[in-house]
Amino acid sequence: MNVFKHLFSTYRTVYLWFWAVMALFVLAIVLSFVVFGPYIENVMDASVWQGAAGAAPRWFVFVIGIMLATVNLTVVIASGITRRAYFAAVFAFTLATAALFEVASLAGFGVERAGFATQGLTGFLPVDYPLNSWNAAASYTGEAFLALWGFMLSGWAIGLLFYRLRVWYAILLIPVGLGPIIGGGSLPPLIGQGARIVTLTVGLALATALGFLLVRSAPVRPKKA
Amino acid sequence: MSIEVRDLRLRFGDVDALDGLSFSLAGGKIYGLLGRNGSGKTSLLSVLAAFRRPTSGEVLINGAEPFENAGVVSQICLIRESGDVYDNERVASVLRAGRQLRRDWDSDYAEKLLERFQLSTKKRVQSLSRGQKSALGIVVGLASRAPLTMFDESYLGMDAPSRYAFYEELLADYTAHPRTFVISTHLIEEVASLFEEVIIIDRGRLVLHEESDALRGRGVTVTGPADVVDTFVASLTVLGQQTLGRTKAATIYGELNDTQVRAAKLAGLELGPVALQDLFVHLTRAEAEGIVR
Repeated sequence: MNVFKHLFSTYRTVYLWFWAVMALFVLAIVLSFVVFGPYIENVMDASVWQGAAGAAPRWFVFVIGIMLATVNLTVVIASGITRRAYFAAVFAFTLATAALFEVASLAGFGVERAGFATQGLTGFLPVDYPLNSWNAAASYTGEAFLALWGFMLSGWAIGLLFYRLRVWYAILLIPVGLGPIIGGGSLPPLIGQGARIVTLTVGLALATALGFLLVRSAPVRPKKA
Repeated sequence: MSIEVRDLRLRFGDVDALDGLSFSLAGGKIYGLLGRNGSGKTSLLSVLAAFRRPTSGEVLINGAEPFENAGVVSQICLIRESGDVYDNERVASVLRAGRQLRRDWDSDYAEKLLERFQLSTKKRVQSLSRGQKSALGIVVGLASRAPLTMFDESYLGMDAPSRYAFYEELLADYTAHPRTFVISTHLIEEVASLFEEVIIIDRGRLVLHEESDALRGRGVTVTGPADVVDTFVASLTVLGQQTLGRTKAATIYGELNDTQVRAAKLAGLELGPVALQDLFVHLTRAEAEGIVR
């Protein structure tokens, strides 16, 4: 629990900054509808937030995952924490981050929908808009949460690959570390949601197993001068 | 905390950093770990702190293997010259990490040490000078109050007043909170008075493990008129000589017998203790040249 708290206190400020920027982005969208709404009716056929929330947070947590392996690992282990305890804390922290980010992402959809509603443009929202129905919300949230978690664990696994192995071995193993990203980012247009969730879950399991294998005997190397 | 090392080996590729090292420390003392560059000091400390898993052999800290042993590693603190803190964070965050992660962390003591070493909590670690970074390592090491605390060349960048402040703090805190310290250093003479026992390693092997006083007894400094000193030491192993005008001081290796002591006094020579550094140089050179002591 101490390690989880430590990770949360280390990243809370950067999380707040990220969501502050995202909030400005969603407010700009809403403002553009309020001001220019009537003029964009015929060109607007998709949710801007759906695109933004489906990409920026995922790549952001991917980078945080890399940092968990390359920045935090040495400091935490050098502070008298076992690798197993750190792995458990990372697992919980990535899970909590994915949940937190998904809640914030849903809030963004709420603000965007309200923006559309002020101009009576809700009819222009896409058919699969997450807030169109409870079912759509649940379906979107479940998959998006898994994708976020997957991106973060993928970053962690890839960071560990480069921390532990020689660069060519790490490059060769990147496809295993990228499992959740392939499941959560590249396949969606090609296959159905059921298959996507199965792919995501398999990718998550692969990245988790790879992360555990790599961290359990990781040395704490000195920093390079 | 006691330390037991048996036939310890650590291999990097085709290089043996540690090559069948064995020794035993009872704990509750200040130990000096000496060795030349590349002798295996850092590798040894890394294995003791469970930073690395040994290739073979056994390490027992208080009777238990440290690697992935939560009960043991939580009682160990190794401070390296490179520093294991977040470079892009402020000093305050480093202290917060200590408070959150270290079992025996003493926040008040950490604050006091920061003041003593004139470190600001608001400064970012990467903006600190090399000496200030070393001082931050000292703060973390001492405030961790870990039952086994090890410093690996961790104060090299500090200026002389800061280093002496460290020695004072180390001794004061050791007296107030007795625990095991292992100090690896090249500044032997500066810290020699702190060591209760000395371990010397070379090329991954143990050269010597002895109490400091007994080790100093392995040599004698002979001071007096240059010609008299030269005559007296002619048949002895001379580790080093210094001449000032007509006076000469020669450091010899080996104990003098009663007859030699009497002869020295009759010749008007002064006998004194030998510098640990001179013995270290002699012993490691002898090891490198394969001389049997």
